[in-house]
Amino acid sequence: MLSNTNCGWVDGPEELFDPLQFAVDLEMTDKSSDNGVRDVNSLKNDDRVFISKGLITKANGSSYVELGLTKITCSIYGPHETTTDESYSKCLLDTSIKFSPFSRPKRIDPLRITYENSNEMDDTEEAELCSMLEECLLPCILLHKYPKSQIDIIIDIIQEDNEANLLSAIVLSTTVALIDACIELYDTVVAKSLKIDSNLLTVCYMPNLAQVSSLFFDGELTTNELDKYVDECIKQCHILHKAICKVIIDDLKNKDQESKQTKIA
Amino acid sequence: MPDSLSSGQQHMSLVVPGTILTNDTSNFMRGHGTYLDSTKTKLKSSVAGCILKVDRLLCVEPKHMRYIGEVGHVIIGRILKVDQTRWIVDTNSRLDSYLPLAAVVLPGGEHRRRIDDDERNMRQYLKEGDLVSAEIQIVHQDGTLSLQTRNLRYGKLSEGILVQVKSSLVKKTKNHFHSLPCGATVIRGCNGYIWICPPTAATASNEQEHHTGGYVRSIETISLDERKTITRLSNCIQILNRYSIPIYDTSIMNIYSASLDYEINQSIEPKIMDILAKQTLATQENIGTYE
Repeated sequence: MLSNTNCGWVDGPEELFDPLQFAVDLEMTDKSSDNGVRDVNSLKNDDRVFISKGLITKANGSSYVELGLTKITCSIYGPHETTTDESYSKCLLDTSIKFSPFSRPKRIDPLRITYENSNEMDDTEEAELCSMLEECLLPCILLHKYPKSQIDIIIDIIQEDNEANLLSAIVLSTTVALIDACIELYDTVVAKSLKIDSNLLTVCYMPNLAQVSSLFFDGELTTNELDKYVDECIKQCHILHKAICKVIIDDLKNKDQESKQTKIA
Repeated sequence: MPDSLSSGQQHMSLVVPGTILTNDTSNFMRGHGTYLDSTKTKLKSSVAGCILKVDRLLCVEPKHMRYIGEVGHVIIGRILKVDQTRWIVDTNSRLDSYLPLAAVVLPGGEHRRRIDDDERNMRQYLKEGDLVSAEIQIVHQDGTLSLQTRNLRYGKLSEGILVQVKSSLVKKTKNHFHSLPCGATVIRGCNGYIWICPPTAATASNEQEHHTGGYVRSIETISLDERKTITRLSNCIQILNRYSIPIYDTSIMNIYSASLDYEINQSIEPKIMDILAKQTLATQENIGTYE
């Protein structure tokens, strides 16, 4: 098992799943699938969430999240050794976010060749998302427990529906994958975005510690309005947090049951 | 590690990171998976798992943990790099382990004097990609392991199959090198790497080791029967891994004898894996003795 810097790039998933298996029902139903959560009552139609973990067996931790129509997978490798000086006393985070070519209605060239007069996706969008993600996550991982190590986070955006949902879904999938990888965290980070007119507000919140790990705001609002919307975001974060907890605890219970069944029989 | 799912404790509390475990920090000691929050009044969980309370020690046991070495453990590792005076070995732990040149038996026998050329010839002894069995000599403060192969039992591994299992399943016993009666040798590395090889390779190298220090790879043809045994053992150990059954020589032999009823290629079918796992557990319950 040779570890190298490109351990995250594989040719494709080990197991193939029918994509329709993960499709979100467009009609409101009360069914919830085995390993995901559909919280139809408290969230609007396009904020329905599906969370599943452990899909990518090669990675130390992985998750698949659907938020509305946005679909994201996250895989985590690590913590593993790194020789950079910066990592001497605490862990480094190496994030990489990639859009699939079919993730938006207009095709994104994987080689990012931009032609003149084109309104295509900016080269920097992925890098921006990476730095935003790092900002959200760094406060919540116990970095001092992993000196001289590095955690690789690789995010694949399969479909992006709504740019407001994007960062929220990315943070959600990363949190679930980190928990799947059994990396020590102070708390789960949940991010929620609100789009009010042309203003975009994203709050990354840690429910148990009742702390905001980061806040991104793009637009113009008065401070009172900002307060109000931040509170609203936090309320919705609590709901998402319940969804994550339910998925994780159900998963642990299932593993518990599996090992018990073989013991009893 | 004590069994957390002992009888009578169904669904011992399952927690997510950030859950408060106790407010009574003076009475409890912190174990793995917990942290003391900034106000120093609450003990919280840092991983998702089940709570394990042993007297006054509170830990949270996550679903899998990276291998944490201890002095004296037998491990199997793969050489990643050849450094100045040491080899860097991957042992499935958080950080890479080191095998210093001073800690190996040099070709030519145990009592050979060291010469300058040894450093330059390191790649001839062990190069990138080779598998070695070794023992942990030192565990450094940050968790790095220093290995040694000064015993003639350890050294380069030549022909066989490497099976990767969860490190917590490898039972720590006095002996990790087993010559199984079915006709193969199994080395159970505490880090979760298990090596299965034909018996001839092991005994031949024992003889050669007096002269060569265990570095000559025996490249002999292995008969079909031996290959079948080794493949069957590999499948069996993977079943033990999948069903979280502790792996030691008795359990391996139990599942091996149970699997003889089926063809080798059948032993990786889910239904049959289920049957074999249940049979192994049943046999172990009946015997009721653990090493």
